[in-house]
Amino acid sequence: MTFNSIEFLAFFLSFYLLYWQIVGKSLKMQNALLLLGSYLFYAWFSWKFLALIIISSAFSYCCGLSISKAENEKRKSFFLYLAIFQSLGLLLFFKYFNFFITAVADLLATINLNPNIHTLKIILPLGISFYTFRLISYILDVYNEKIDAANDWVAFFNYVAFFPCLLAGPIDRADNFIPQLEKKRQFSYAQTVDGFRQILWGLFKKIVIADSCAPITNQLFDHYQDYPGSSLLIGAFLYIIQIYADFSGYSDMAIGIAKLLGFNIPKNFNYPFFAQNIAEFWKRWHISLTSWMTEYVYTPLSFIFRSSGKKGVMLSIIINFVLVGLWHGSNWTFIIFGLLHGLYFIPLILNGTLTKRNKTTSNLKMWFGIFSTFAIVMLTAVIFRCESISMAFEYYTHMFSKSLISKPLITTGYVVLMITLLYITLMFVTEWFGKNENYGIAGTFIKKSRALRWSFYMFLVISIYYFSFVDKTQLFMYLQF
Amino acid sequence: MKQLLKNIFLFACVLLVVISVLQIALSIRTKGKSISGYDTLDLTANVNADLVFLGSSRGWAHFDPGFFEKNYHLKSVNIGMNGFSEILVSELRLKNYLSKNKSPKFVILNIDPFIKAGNLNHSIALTNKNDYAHFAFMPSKENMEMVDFYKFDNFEKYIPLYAIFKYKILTDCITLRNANAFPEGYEANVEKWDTIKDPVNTKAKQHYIKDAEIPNLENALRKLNAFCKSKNIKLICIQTPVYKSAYDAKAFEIPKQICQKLNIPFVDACDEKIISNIDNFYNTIHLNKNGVAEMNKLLKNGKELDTIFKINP
Repeated sequence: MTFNSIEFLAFFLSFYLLYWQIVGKSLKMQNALLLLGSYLFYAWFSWKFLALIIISSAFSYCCGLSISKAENEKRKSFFLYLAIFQSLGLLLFFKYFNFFITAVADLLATINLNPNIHTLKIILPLGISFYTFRLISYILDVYNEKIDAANDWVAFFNYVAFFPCLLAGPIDRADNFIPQLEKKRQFSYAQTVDGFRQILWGLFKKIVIADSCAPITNQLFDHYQDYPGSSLLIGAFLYIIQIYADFSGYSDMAIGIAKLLGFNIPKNFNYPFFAQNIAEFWKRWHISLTSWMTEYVYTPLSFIFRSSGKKGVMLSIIINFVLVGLWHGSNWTFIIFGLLHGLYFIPLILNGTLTKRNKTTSNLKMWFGIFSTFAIVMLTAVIFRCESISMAFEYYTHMFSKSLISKPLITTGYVVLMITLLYITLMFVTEWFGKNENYGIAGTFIKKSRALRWSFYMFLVISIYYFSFVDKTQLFMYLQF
Repeated sequence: MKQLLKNIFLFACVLLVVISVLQIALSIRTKGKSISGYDTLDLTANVNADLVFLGSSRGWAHFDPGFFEKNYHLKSVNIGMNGFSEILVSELRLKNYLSKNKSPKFVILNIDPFIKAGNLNHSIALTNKNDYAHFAFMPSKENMEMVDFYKFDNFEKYIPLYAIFKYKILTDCITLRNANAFPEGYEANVEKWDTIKDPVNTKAKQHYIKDAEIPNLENALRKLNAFCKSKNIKLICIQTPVYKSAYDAKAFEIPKQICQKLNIPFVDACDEKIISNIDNFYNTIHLNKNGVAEMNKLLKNGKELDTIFKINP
């Protein structure tokens, strides 16, 4: 029941009517229905793992209350570590157990020790990376007295399991979300229309852009040995577009759905491809994760290494990004991906431009910054996509061979490629003109006549209608993380 | 909320109008044309031929209307259905043709041991279904039976653009790039058999009609013959060649026996010279243009058709 499915449409339509028409007058009923809806939504994917969310929520809820009531620091710390151990422990077990076991076995094998280590058949619970981070940030914020512990368990459980953001974020913070749950949501026409518009833009990016790129990138990455370098370069380009359109499309839909229910969720993407350097890129890409990591990993680390000056900053950033990479999954490719991104920060740290706001005076410099940042991100994404480091290395070798300047070979056909590129251009142009808005089309034709605005929306709807049949709809990429 | 519902309704109505207009535009664009060459329902309207060819892909690839026009002076049209060896489908296709044309004098059915009676309990994934998808939306009375045969669902029939998008034929409908794929009115294939890509095999024999299916076939053919008679049409069956690896004398006797039993004129074009020469085929069961010419020579020299065509009902 993903956002772009008929099942979700049916679920949400009935939920929406109940939410506003039947229980809309009572906060308690609104929250109770929201929780029920969220659990139903999750159970649709995996009812077995629903218990895990409920147990984790209950555990963190009790620990949060215990921290707030603790009489001394020792007791406070005890409940903090207990809660973190529980939620992080589950994440580490489900997501990284086999990876670490294999890594340890490989390490021991290098010193001629071959212990009989077995991996386990573990199914990763959907959304665990996202709700675990929500739980950890909550417990740390309660511990650091940034927020009060939640007293209303229904509100807290809703914070953890809020269905629009449950499976792939954004990773909202308790200080933003729980207060919204404590106030009765009022139906707002303007917010609802804005929500619909954002969902439309998200669907467009997912179905028209990401799902059109997917068959081409899948073909190129799965059979990279058979293609010339020029094709692989196109593959790398389309892959970064695909991952952006897929994930930012998902985020737009999640935020838009939340708006329909009367919630405001901060944006998760801020036009990252218009960033002029890597630091700016990460301020604009998967914002809820990077801001989480900055607050709970980078800041404490840089405090620890503060006496080492720039070296300390470098180390903190590199550790931070390795963890960002590792968050995506248990594979060395993600670690290298994170490590490389951390390393890209070094020139900025050395010349002291890391925290400086980009005030570009010349157009040329701005476009150079945008293109060079895009190129670095695009090339690094190849590692992210590959199944192993060796595959990534071979992909690069093939890509940067003599055939890079040959005519690209595209099995899906040049017409399909050209149409995809045309739509990608449309997305970029729209986002460029809407870059000061919350999402791409928030301001598009907003001050123009309704006829013009609706014509534009019609065009998007018909494009979505057409492309929803073009290829078997791909699952959202970030659902796997 | 009322304002929201009002605007959603208005937007949905405008959207419906827009997609309906687009659907109508595409329907006008494809009216009377074929989008792939195989979907000949509209292409063969108002032809009013004297001679109509029916059958499977073998009928579609083996009967050259030009040859019959030139040699027998009968205006001819081939309405063979790629992928369907069932009498039922041929009958449906003939009915569709008759709803748009005057009755012909003769119908020639391609017959062979692969032919079956057929029924409507088939899967929804049918050969060339995509090509027929442009007929699916609000089908005309004449095309309704064919649309139902292809099992287009209600979404495909009643939601504008749905079938065209689903079966990915938008580009074909706009460009009509394949509209003239078979200018000779049948699938004239100039290719020679690539036996590396498609090796000589005997697999086709697996699809011979089983003994238990023969009574049904007889009934279906009897029904078709009766239908033709009711329309004052003379039904003729011609058994066209297969490559020798797919040939079995006993199996190829069955159609002849059935036709004799039902008193339907039968011509056997499965000549040994034709079936032994690989240059006549582009695969095991289909003649290429060279093979069609050889078969036509045989028919011309055999004089059986001269006799039959003179017996004008």
